[in-house]
Amino acid sequence: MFDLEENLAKWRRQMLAAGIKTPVPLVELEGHLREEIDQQRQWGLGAEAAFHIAVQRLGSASALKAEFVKVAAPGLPQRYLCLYCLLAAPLLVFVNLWALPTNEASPILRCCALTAMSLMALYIGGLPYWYKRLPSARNQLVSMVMWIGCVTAMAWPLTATGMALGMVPLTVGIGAEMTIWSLGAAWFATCLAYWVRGEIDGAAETAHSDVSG
Amino acid sequence: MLRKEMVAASAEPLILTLLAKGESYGYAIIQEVKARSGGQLNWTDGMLYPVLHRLERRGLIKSRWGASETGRKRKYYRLEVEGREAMARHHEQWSLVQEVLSGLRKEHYV
Repeated sequence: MFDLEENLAKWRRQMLAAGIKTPVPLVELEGHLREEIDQQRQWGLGAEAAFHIAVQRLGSASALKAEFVKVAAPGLPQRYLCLYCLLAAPLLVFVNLWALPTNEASPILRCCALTAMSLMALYIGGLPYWYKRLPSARNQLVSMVMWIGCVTAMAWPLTATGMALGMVPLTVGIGAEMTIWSLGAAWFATCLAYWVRGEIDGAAETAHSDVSG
Repeated sequence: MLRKEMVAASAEPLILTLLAKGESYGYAIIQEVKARSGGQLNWTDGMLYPVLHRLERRGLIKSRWGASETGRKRKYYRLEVEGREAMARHHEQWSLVQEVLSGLRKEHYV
């Protein structure tokens, strides 16, 4: 005599053995399996045949696991983004707290620079959590801002070196200088975030093959 | 039967467009796609879930646990704002392909 619950328990064990360990996919897959079995039985099939058809339609445990692994594992670019933001945000605060009070800038200027830096550090530190909400890079304004950032990021280190060596007759003040460096750090974090988003979109392209089995 | 590549490429726009009609769940999505395509779009059932999870991870859809009519646990998905935008982009792209293809067909038969 075919015992449906016993066979479902066996199927669950097979899924767990294949590595589908997180409760969410397994509960969801079991729900699907049960709905398919109900449907097959409504069409007149016996429990055993309905169970086997439903299991076959759902796909093998190893194939399912392989697809779920792709979804669950954070990609390398995401790790880079998290690592960069985790290091850059506190470093930015630390460097500025150390550098600004020791220079001769007025208290108001120092205060403004510290506020700007703190905001920048907040932006960088929070980026791994909300980067999906950044406006699309296909947007003309966003792409223009990124290009300006790109040119500035390339020009500023050269200008700063020239200023330090006395070759560029320009003084911007420590507050402004630190702000520009911080903006550079924020710009780099934003570029990384867009790169990660590109990776996710790319993963979506490869995901197309999934449903067709 | 549609070619495997075609089935695969149409999965995301179909899921997003189905969810634009309202909240739904995996089994219902598969059944509706099967019914609307007359069985031509044949997905491997279980493979829909990694795609749904991936769409959720990208912020295009959102899920919540609910209960079926029989009281069984069921995960419902709904479209997010980003998902609506992604769907619109898909529609534009598919329309463009359709337009080019129709134009070429007309030229071929005239």
